[in-house]
Amino acid sequence: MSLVMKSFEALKECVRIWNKYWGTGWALIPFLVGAAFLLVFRRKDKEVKNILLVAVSGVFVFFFPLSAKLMWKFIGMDVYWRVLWIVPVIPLTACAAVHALRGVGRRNVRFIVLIIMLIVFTGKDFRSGYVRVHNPQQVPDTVAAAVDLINEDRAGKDVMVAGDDFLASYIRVYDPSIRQPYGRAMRYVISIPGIGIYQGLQKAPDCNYARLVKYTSREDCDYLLVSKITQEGEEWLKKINYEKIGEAGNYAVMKRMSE
Amino acid sequence: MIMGLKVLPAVFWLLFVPLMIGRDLAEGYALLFAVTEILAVPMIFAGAPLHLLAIVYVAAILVLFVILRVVPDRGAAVRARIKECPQRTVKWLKEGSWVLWIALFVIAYQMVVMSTMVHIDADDSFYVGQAVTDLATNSVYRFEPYTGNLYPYLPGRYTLSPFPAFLSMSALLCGKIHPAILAHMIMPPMFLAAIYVVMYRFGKRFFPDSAKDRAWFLLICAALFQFSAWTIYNAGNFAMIRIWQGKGFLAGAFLPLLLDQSMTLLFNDGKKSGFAVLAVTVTACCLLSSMGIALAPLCVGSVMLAALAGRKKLVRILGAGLCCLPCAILGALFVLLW
Repeated sequence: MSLVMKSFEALKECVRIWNKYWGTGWALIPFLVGAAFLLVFRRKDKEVKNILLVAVSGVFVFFFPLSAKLMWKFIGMDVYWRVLWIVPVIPLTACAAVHALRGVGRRNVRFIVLIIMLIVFTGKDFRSGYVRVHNPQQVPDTVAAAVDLINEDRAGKDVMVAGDDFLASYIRVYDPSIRQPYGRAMRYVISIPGIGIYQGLQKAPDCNYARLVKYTSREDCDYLLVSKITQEGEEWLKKINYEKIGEAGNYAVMKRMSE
Repeated sequence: MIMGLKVLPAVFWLLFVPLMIGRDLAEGYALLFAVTEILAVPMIFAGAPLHLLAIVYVAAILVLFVILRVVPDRGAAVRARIKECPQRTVKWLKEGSWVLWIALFVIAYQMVVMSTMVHIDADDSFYVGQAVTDLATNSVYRFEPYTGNLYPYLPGRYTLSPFPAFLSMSALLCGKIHPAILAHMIMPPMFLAAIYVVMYRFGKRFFPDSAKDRAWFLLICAALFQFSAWTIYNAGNFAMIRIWQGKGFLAGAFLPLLLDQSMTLLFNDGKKSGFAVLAVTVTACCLLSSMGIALAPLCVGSVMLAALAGRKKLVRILGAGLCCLPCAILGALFVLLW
């Protein structure tokens, strides 16, 4: 493939990533309108000229095929959108808004309301991504409840706990004294039974309990956390001495009883 | 009560120290992070314990404080800063008028949300999990956070950007507070304050003669951050939902800080000491995230490109490029070792 074709393909990919970054595209409006306003009405201001130059330069660096391909090799294409963090979107937009406000008069209430409405309706409240939990470590309450239950039961003994991806991501964040056979997305799993347990728990309650039992019996897990366990599942696990000692959210806390 | 007592050391190490050692909160954090990067990376390779990293870090900060703030004028500037702080704050609040009060209210609201609520993010299993594991085992990157077993080999780019080491070390210095509490409740409002310090620097750049315009600038920045969740990819939202993971702080504060410092050097003929400050900030970016190793030179590079287009002094442009040497060294190390 010629250099031109390769560059064109890279540029197409950059455009795709650019569109992904801006989502529906509404949020691009304040930035573009702000940049256009500064370019048309305030370009003689030295600092405005500088920030416009820097913003254009950042966008150029993002789209330039050669640097893009180099960055893909180092950071991967999946996260290439992070290169757009070098473009000063918020300072430039705010600068444009204040210059515009200066132009119409700072007491112009209608214009102030217009700016605020533009920001509100093209954006989304960051608070929508936040939830309230009831533990100071601020892990999901289900994780805290499950670990607290296990800690009450284990009486200080060294234990290994297996849960699905959701729990495995947070158990050791809450309490590092608990060992796990694998981490989030099976990271650092060191045994075949561990893989089998992970795959089984991920599919719970619709997992193959016979397989789960087969792998659990080969692993040294003191506790299993099973999502929405069925009566059948409990009976299967009872065959290898696992009994329910409590619940945390939708999860049954199954403990391996001594024989 | 116990939690309250542990918050006091956190306020000291994460607010008072950066304010005293840097010209402002953001540059103070840059210095602390740069020191951590320089100390932590070799100590990880050497298998040093966490308490040793903390001791050397404290000693380094003390030495830097003496060199930067005590020796030049026998500490007069620091004493003046502490003495005049209340009066300057009142003057600043009065000059900014009701607009500034609204901006500060919005920022305070954001701090309360970030501190009392949480954004559930599975990357915490590494970034916070590693700090929790390190504190529990008094080690740095010896035990992996997912299972608690020894690392079979050091984790590539995470070793070169050990922000979890800063978290675990700070937790140790704050009386062994749980790193998850430090990360989720205490750090976010402090780091958010640093983000707005950087935004205010831009405000001073654009509107040096009008306190009211700077207040409006800050308010609009606060509004843009508030409504930044239009995608999960943009810098504003990353800062608001993942600020404790290092890369959120990189996106919200440190890349804009790099832009501001580079622009001062290349467009405003800033003092030559600014190159050292830029190099410190670049090093700090390397600690925050492996993305920092890649993005810091791109960020400075984009300003260099703009300066070239604006026909600025070539010597300065090349000087700014040299400040990205820490990234080149770490990048080369990564390629060699992994």
